[in-house]
Amino acid sequence: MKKVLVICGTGIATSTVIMNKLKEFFAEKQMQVQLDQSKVSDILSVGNDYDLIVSTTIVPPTIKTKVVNAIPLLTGVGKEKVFNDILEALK
Amino acid sequence: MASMFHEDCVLLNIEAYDKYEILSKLSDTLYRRGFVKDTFKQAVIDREEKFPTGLRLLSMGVAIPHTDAVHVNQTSVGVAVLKNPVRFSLMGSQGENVPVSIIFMLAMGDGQKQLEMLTKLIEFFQREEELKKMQRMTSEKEVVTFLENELLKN
Repeated sequence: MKKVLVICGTGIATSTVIMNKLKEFFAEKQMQVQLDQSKVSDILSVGNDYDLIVSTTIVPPTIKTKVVNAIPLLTGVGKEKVFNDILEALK
Repeated sequence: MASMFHEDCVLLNIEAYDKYEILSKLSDTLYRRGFVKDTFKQAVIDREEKFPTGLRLLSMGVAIPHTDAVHVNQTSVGVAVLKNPVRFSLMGSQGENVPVSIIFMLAMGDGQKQLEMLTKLIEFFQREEELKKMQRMTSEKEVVTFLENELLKN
């Protein structure tokens, strides 16, 4: 099962919204995905364990895992591309 | 969903020199009503520096400043509709700015209901024409009623 980490600056607000959107999205696509939520300061210890990171903040370049910028899911501007990028990354 | 919006926490057609000024004024409205602790203001300002919350919609900018629940007494949202846009840093960017016209200051306590409120608010940003109506309103009460109705929609 693929593992996706959702992060934002402090793990409070935007990551919660994105988590919810991704849960719905994966359910719609009938995809089994492990979805975890965290804040960016935790990422150095766990980031490389995931198949994909979905973030609303900047991820340090030392992280090798693919990162998709989730901010379009908040503004609606360009959100289709984000969902496509996520699907691509999980193939 | 109990109302998180209050007339006393709406600053309509307000002028601000910079983001610090408006963050300060908006925090004050929440503090005066007892919704947040005295540590809230500085925490919001600090967090905005580290993890900016400016969002670029199609034709305008909004911001959703917030901080940890530890500074919050009661979940509430402060709203500022600015007369002239103020520069905020763009979420997830390094040094990019966005001129912000409407600010939703989120004072979120712990709990699952926050998710509902936040999700509806974020969804509201995708109805930009509705958002812009706020800029033409003439009373705080009008703003509160409008937001309550908008966020109860599906």
